[in-house]
Amino acid sequence: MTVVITDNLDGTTSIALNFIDEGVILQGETHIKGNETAALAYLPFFEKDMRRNFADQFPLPESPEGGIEI
Amino acid sequence: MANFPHALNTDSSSNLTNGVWDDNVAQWMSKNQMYVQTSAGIWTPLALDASGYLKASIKDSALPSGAATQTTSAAILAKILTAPATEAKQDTLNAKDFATQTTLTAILAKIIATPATEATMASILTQLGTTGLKKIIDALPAGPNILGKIGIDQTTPGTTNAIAMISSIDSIVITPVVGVKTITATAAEIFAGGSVKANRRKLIIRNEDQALRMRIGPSTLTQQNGYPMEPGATVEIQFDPATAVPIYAISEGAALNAAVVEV
Repeated sequence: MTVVITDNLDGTTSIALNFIDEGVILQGETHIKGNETAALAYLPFFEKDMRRNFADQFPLPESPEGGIEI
Repeated sequence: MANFPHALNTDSSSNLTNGVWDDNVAQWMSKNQMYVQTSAGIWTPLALDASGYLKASIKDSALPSGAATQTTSAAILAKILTAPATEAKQDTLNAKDFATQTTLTAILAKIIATPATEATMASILTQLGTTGLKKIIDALPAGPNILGKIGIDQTTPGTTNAIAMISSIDSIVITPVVGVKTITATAAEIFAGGSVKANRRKLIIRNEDQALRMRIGPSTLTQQNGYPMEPGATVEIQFDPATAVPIYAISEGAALNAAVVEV
């Protein structure tokens, strides 16, 4: 995932995400109130929301080898 | 033998002279008859007309230089109106305030090169009623159109006042976008997908937390001044699709989830 954070100089900051490096054609962009620090604090939540709302586009995690002990 | 009541005419020597009594002038008159010789050698007496003027014929005389011939005179006559204007009428016209050449030139300069013909104007006239334009043929252009005051005929409710709604702000014209948004103590834009839906008509937000309250508002939103959304509350906001208006959300406490729908 690549991130671009841009200060809009109006009290807001833009966060742009791109998942192309993970083989997923998905982009996201949002604005938060505050500066770059606030944007970095919000970034994990934005990323989590993207992965949750577009879960169908991300590959499923590989299952661990071996059987499951009951 | 004839007797005359008048004394015979005599000269200064009292000699009698030749004469004929004329009743018109009541005198003895000495009269002469003058003859002229024609080109053929025939002597012809000179004659007077009814007014006593000597008759003279110019039939064989050449016209003076520059005189109009009969043909020319007839051509001029043909160009003269049957009833030409009298001098009085021409004086009346002469008294009018006619435009000067300068004024006419100025008017000409203001006339477009190809003004509409009478046929074109007549065609336009048929498109107009006696009280003005009655037909609107072309559809209104896309985007906002101000129509002004619109009256609805209530003569037959349900019929004359029927309005067919093609689309409205409440109509779904494209697949909605749904998602869950994490609302934190940092005010951030709230939307359902990866970014704000283009031409968004409606935004529906539901606070899915069981205990925490969240707030929504503009980018100046804080945990104190936003519009509060209690746990489980839903807010619906309508937009002008042509105008993008960002909505921010913030949690009053820890991070919480909000379900979002954009239409």
